[in-house]
Amino acid sequence: MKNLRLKAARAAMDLSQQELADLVGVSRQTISAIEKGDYNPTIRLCAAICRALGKTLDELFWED
Amino acid sequence: MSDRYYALGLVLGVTISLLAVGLFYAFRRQRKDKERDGSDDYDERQKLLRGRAFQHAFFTVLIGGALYAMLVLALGRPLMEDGVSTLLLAFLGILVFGVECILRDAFFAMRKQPKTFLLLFGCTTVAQLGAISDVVAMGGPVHNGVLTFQILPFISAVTFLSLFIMIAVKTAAQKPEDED
Repeated sequence: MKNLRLKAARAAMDLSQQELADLVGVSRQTISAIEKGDYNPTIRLCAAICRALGKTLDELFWED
Repeated sequence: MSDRYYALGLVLGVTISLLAVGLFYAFRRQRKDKERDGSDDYDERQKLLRGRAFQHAFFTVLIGGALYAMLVLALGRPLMEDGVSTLLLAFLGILVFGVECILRDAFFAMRKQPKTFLLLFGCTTVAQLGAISDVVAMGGPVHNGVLTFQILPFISAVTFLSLFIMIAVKTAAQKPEDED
C-alpha cells in the first residue's frame, strides 16, 4: 500500500526524495520504495524518517 | 613447459589482483573512517537485497556444480581441467550477484558514481582482449577436448562486459525523482 502520508509530509517540508534520503542516510530508491509501498522499513529507519520530518510514527506509519 | 608458465602466471596474477583489491578497500575504508568519524552509509533495503542476491548466487553455484558433476559422471570423462569448473562457477556466481544488485539498486556507490564503475568494468574488459588474442593465437582454450585455464580471460571479459552493460542500461533507464 502506498504511503501517501510520508510523501505529503516530505512535500510539506519542501524536501526531495534525495534530500530526505541524505538526511536519514539511505538511498533515494529506498525512500521511493517506501512511498510506493514496495518496501517495509524497519523501526530504526521509520524513526529516522520521523525525526527528519518532525512527525510521529503514528502520523506517518500507523495504518488504521 | 609453456602450460606450466601459463599456470604460474595465472596464480601470480590472481594473487596480485586479490592483494591489490584488498589494499584498495583497506585504504578506502581508512579514508572513509577519517572523513566520517567511523560512520558509514547504511541502507537496510540495499543490505536485504544484497543478501538475497548472495543467496541466489550461492544456489546458482551449487546447482551448477551439481549439474557439472552429473554431466562428468554421465560422460565418464572430465570436460575441463582440474579447477576450471570451480573458476567458471565462481564467475557465474559473481555475475548473478552483480546483475541482481545492479538491477535492484542494491549499491550506494554504483548509483552515485556510475561512471566510475563503467570505467572500471570497461577497462577490465578491454584488458582481457590481449590475453584473449594470445589464447586464440595459441589455438584456443580447448586442448584434446578439455577446457583449460586459458578460458579465464574469456570468462572475465564476458562477466565484466555483462556488468558494464547492466550498469549502462540501468543508468540510461534511470527515471526522474518520484517516478521509479
